[in-house]
Amino acid sequence: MRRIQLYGTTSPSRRRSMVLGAVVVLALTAGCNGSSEAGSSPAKGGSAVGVTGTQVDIAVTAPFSGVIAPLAEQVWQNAFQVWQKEVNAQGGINGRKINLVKVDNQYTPGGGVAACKQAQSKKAFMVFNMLGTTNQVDCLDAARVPTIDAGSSYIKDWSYAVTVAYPVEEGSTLVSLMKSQVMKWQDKKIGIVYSGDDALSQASFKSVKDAMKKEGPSLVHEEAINASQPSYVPQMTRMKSAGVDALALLCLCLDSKKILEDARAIGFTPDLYVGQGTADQITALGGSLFKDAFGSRFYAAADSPGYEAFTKKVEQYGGDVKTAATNQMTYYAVLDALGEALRRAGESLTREGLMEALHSLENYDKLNMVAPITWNDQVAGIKGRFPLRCCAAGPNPWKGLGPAKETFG
Amino acid sequence: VTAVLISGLFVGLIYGLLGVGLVVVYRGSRVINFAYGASGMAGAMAYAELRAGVGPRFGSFGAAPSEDLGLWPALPIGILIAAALAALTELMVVRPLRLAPRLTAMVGTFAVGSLILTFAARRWSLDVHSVPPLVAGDGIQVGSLLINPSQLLILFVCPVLLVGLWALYRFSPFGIRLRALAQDPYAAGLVGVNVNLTSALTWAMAGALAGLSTILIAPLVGFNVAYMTTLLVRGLAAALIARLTSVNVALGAGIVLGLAEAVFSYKASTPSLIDVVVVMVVLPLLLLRRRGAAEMAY
Repeated sequence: MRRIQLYGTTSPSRRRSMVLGAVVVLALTAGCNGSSEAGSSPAKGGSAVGVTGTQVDIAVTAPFSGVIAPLAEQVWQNAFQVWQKEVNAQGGINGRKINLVKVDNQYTPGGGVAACKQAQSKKAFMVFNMLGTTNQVDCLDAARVPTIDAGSSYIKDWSYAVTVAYPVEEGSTLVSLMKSQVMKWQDKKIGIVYSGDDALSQASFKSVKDAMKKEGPSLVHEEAINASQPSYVPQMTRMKSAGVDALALLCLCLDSKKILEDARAIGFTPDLYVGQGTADQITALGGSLFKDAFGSRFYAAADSPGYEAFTKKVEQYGGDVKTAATNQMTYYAVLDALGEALRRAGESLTREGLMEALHSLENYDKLNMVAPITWNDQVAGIKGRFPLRCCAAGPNPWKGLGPAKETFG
Repeated sequence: VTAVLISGLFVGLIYGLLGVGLVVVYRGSRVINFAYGASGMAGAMAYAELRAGVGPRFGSFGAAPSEDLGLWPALPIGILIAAALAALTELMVVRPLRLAPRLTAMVGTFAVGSLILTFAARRWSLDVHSVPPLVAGDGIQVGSLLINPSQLLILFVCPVLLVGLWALYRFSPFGIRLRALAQDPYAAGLVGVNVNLTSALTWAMAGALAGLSTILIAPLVGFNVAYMTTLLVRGLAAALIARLTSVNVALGAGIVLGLAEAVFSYKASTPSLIDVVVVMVVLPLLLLRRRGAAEMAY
């Protein structure tokens, strides 16, 4: 499996928000030597760390070596390089070309610290962390290097980092979808499967359970599962015995195909909702098992205008269309938001100016590739979900159900 | 409950199959092969790649699968790859450590397993893949449970395998050499048994068994490069209950474990607890076995 998300919570007010880092992490590290450089002077002339009159250096940290490296390379090629080439082909941002620099963090704590130091030694203006450990972001924050963190484990009160986080399966969101005319689950007897060994899945379950208590529909049975169980017949048997007629999988559920096969083996064929496990490649394997399943996720489906635009950009700017995927699109969309922040930061680019510009983004949604992005508080990130339905043909089976606002009401 | 028990029976057969393979290796070399699952997995992944185009990119990124080359080139190639990996493990890790404590060789097999896993993850990614079953069909209904053809095939293969191994050990010259080697390799060498060749063939045979087992199991599980890790722990438990000597007991123990796990999962509703139970069974047995192995050192 591939786990594609990382998450965490901080203060009670943020308990419902957890970080989802995608499978692959890109980090842009810019800026360099700690606090003394952080406040460097306005930079049109190139006095800020990593900024010259014609170029901005941004470090991208990710596990570019090791098991996950092939995934990181794909995102690097189809999202980061495509964005860089596109921006530079249009003359850069505020007259400066973007120069992305790969930094390997090995996805280890030690590698994270090394990547932090390397990004500084390379005099990067900022860092985009595609996937990495939290201590890397801690290190960069301490050094006052602006960081967009798409893949550490926690949201913290960082001063120089913003997170690509999105709320966990918000109970109220899912309940509203269940009660909508799209799903029509209001009178169903709901069963929920979640991962007993996964913090995000547990948080999602708690959120949904609480919302269902208040607003319905009725939750009649719940099952915690482990990853890679050889059989889910016992769990599905209990679900069936409880009278469940609509099943929500609130887990990454890489073996959701197996879960549904075992359900079918005992004649248990409930209506289906898939939460976190909506990656196209997962459900593509399940084929008819997922037929007519509902789903929701924070990035658009393969049949969306946003994804069509993304693949065109991949093709135009030297990416690999064959390996393009919807989850890569999220990085491109976040990079687009970064571009907007760099523009807002103005010609006199400073690290403080960039942070101010990042925090000024609110419901940024130019491309409709991901749910609106907001960085005006620490929890922030991507807020909202796209409703989906299975299964379109091909390797990207989820079909979009239109804008989230219209569907969720 | 009937469905749970029948399901547990088939899961137990899987554990038993893996346990049998571990026993075969141990009987020939007095080494627990911790790379058993990884070498089998590599064979199964190769099989899947030839059947369905499971490649470095498929799955993760939606690239189209390549052409299905068919069962017969794919199956023997997958089994051969697993056999070759096991034979190489014997040749490059176990044989050089033959005079070292057994534990050293076992740790060596751990390293081999990790190496194979790393390679596999890079080649086939960490995604769950789809693999065509060896036999197609709708399966048969037993009570409230639909038994699929892949499960039925395992039910058929297990007894055939047991009879085959029994005949091999009991009647064939190779089997007699194997038994001699297991008893005392030094003495076996003195009476003309080619110790190195026999040992390598034992590992290759066990590797082939690993390949066949994992290919049989692949359609029944969430099939990715890590899927054998959990299963092998159960297989090891079955093998240890059989004191690493009896293939029949290993298979039986696997079945009992599968049934126990199914009942436990059904009643306890906390699946992770079964892992604790299995570890509590395996660890003492492993320690006892280690002591026994030391006493039987060459």
